[in-house]
Amino acid sequence: MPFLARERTVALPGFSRWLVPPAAIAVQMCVGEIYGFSVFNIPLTRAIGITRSVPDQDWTVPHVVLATYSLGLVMLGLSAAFLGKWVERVGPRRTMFTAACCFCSGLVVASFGVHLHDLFLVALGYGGIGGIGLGLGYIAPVSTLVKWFPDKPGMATGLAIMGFGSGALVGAPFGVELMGHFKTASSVGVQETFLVMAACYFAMMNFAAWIVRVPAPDWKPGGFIASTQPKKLITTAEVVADEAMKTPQFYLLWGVLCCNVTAGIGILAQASPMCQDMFGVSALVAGGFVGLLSIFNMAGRFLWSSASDFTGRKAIYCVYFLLGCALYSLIPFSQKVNSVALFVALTCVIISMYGGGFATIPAYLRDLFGTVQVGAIHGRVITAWSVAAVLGPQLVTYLSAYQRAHGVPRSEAYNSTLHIMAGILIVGLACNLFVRPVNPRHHVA
Amino acid sequence: MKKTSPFSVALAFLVVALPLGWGLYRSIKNSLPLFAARKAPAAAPGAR
Repeated sequence: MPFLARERTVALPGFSRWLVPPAAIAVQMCVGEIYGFSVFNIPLTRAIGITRSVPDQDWTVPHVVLATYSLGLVMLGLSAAFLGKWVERVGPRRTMFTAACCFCSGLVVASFGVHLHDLFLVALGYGGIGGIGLGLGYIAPVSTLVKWFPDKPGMATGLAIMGFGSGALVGAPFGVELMGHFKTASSVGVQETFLVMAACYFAMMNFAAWIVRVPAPDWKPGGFIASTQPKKLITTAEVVADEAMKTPQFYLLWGVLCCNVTAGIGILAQASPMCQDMFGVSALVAGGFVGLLSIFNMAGRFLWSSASDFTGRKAIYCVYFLLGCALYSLIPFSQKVNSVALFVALTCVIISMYGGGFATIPAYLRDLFGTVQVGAIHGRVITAWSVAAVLGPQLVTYLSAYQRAHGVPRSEAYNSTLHIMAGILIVGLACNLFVRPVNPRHHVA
Repeated sequence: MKKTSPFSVALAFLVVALPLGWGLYRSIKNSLPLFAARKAPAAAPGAR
């Protein structure tokens, strides 16, 4: 389709770059739905029994999580890593359209899988095909916004990645409302919900594909004058993705992201049981706490990343790691004094910095490697997320279980894990401190 | 040169702000019990 060609998306003079952030947020908000997928876990384990799970016939939660959430995130990392260069070549419109086709057809296949009660089809649909859509939908808006906002790259990437954080805020209640609407005596309503979500997300993502544009090669924002005084960690040169992988900076930033995400996702994935175990609050109250964390996760992406435009990327990561380390170490104290308010305040700031770390990394990559293939480089760096998504929750779950098995009170079982998380942040800080400008021999001639 | 109308920009932001605002409202509403919750005693040592 010629409409999807990159040449057709080059903005004409007079185009407002402020039309691009809503396009980026729209795509990210749709694919970010994966963060809220847990609302389907229990209904999917009752697809046959409806009111209760039937042993040996219904699926179990670990199987559902593996087939959907885990597989989806792994596919996100893989597709972002392997298709990043294709994304740069074909442009954001074709990528967003392809992401919409993959993500939404994945939901349709998953719906068919629920209808046939075939977990392989659900995995193929949501985790496999949908996961490819996730990866494409994640990197395309980021690299486009970075090119439109050379004067505010941190704010631009913050806006785009804030959209992904908001996916759970919208997707989770949307899914719950739809399941409530379609639920009958013979159906949990998931199958119909997936179909309606596919239609809504397809419309939203194609709206984004329709309005998105790329800047003309010689375009500069009005009044923008590139700094005449070169900054040490902001390059004016360009590095392509394959060459970037030969630099130590690529691996240091991979480590920075991995440490930041491991520490944050450990809390995020276990927030509800942690809050219940440490303070004895009910599951309902803990659910509200998870919602609150989602808001701070989303807000942190925009606020911290925007702040990095003023402080510099290296400095803001030092703040994430040092402040994060101090706050993690204080959480056991909040349990000791039995202060839920202090615990909530500490974790909300930690999660805001987790989101900030996610959102600042594309701007950091842009500073070090330029914009020419920043989407492809970003796609490769976010494989760190896939590793951290496994590492973080496992650390919290298994270490707290180990502590309890060795007689540590349930309310104190997380303390040593939290100190380990603080240690992981120190490793991230070390990686960040080693970041230096890229050697000019890697620059595009 | 055709300039983008500010109305188009506002409309595009509205398309994403509406679902986002609804999700935000729902999350804040659900988190209110956290602040109204009475402090319960922590589980006894060794409790499972």
